[in-house]
Amino acid sequence: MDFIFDYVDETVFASILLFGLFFLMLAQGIAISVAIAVSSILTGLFFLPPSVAFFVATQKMFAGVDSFTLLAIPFFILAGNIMNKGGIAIRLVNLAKLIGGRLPGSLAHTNVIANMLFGSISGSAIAAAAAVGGTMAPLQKKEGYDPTFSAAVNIASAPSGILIPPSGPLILFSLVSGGTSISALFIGGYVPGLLMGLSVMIVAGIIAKRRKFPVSEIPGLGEAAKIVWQALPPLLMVVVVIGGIVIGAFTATEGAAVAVLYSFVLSLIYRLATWREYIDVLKSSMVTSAVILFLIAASGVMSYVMTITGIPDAIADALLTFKNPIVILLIMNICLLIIGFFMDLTPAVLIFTPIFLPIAREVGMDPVQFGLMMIFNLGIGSMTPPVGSVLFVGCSIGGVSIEKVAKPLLPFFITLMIALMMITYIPALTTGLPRLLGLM
Amino acid sequence: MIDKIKHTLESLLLYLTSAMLAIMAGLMLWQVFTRYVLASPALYTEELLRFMMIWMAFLGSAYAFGTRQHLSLVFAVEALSGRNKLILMLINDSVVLIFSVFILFLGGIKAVTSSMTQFSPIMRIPIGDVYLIMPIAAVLIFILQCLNMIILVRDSNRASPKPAGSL
Repeated sequence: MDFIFDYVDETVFASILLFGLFFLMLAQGIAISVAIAVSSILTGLFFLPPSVAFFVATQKMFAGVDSFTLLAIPFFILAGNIMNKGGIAIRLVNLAKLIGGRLPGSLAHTNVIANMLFGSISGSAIAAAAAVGGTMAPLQKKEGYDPTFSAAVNIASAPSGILIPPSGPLILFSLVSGGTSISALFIGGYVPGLLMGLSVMIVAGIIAKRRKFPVSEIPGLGEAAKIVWQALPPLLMVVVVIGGIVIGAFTATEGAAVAVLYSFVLSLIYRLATWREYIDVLKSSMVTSAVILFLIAASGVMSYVMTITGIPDAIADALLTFKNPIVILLIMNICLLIIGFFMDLTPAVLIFTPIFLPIAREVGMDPVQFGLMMIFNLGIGSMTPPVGSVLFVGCSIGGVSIEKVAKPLLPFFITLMIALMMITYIPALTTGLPRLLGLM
Repeated sequence: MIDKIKHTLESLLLYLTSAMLAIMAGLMLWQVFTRYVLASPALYTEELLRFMMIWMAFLGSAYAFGTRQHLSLVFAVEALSGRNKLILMLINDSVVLIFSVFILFLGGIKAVTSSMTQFSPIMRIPIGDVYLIMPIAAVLIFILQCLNMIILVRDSNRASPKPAGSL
């Protein structure tokens, strides 16, 4: 089939074919992992003999999941799901209420702070949106909050959990980027995570003041001490797990297993779940993990085909003609935002890290900053319709339709965009803390 | 009958892989324990865990194909109805069949045969044995996906008893 290349450039042909097929299959509803693998192999068939292509595809799929670090992902999912079993969320919500209770629209702030707290013990935005949103929605309804507003606040702040460690997406990024330090990414995630929460709180505060939402009563000192005491055991996990990973006491994978043990013991002490429920938690964690791992395996084929056809280089050359780093980073962010509309975070990180990271490096951006910028950006993507996992979960848990929540979500994007630009153009926000602690 | 076969196969896969996840967490903790408390780290755990995760990932994926839990965009399928919806769903399912046959099965068999003489550094397991999960998963995905397609066609006939003219 070489005759085609007499007319068009190989790389141009490959990229049109690869992405054309991929988006076609995606649009017609084929599983993303299969769409990735099949579009890649069909493109690969133009460049490799069939027997080699299938064999290499299998090898790349296998190699994609043959990683010890990757084990951290199923373990963190399992730990998060154990924590998700009731009980823990309400303790964190109470603490959040204590912190944000005096602000106008206190329950909205409580929701944001609880999402950040939940994010600091779990690595998934969906888990936070479900656990915290589920606890908050009835409370907010009782105080007369508009359910679409409550759902919007929950949705806009839940992705802060994937920036605040532990974080599945950051581990994933560390792997696809060729071993960026997980400790540095984890510590670097605190400031962007806080920024995301603050962005939501500013808007929520302004809206609450205008609509005169109630301010909660301030609990007495004794009550406050009790609330802090009750929230302490789950939050101590941060010290053990994240602290352990950062000082190098154990690897991210070992830390994730320790998180499983910690959350398991905690839920045993609090008697939060029955054995049946533990088995259900195992089952659902396994399915979530297998789906993510299979996506990672399939992406192995795509990144191989992209490499042999020179697609990342071609995109880099095209983007770098702009010369101005500010413009290049802006274009990258716009591309990622558009991608975020249509694609879930995991496949987007897998597919676009190999394309954009070299460009970011070329304009002098540290991989840690790039990773956090990308996750922040795609985190916004997870709350935007039509495809947004956090949006879906937040709507269903809040009992509102996606169409209704779109409008109250809009104002939050203004501050979130400002925060994204800050993270893109001020390196100190992401690399400052890890540098201070000597992690990079 | 078909539902029963599918259900049995899926439960089997689900319990097997869920147990694997629990064992993996236990093994990982054992590794931490041997390193810190016994001060002589178990060497085999790292390799065993890696291979177990690969097996869990592929077996769990087969289960997820059976129960249609893999991530996908549903707009096109949801926008259609009746016969067109059925046809699109069958096309999508056939792509999964093609994927399982060509990439997982044919590629997998070749990967198995070509790596039987390589051994893992610690446990001395032939790498080909680990690769064996790919053709195994291929067969499972193929069976479950075929059952899904049969059920799809059967239920669409049952659910739309209206005369053919209305389609």
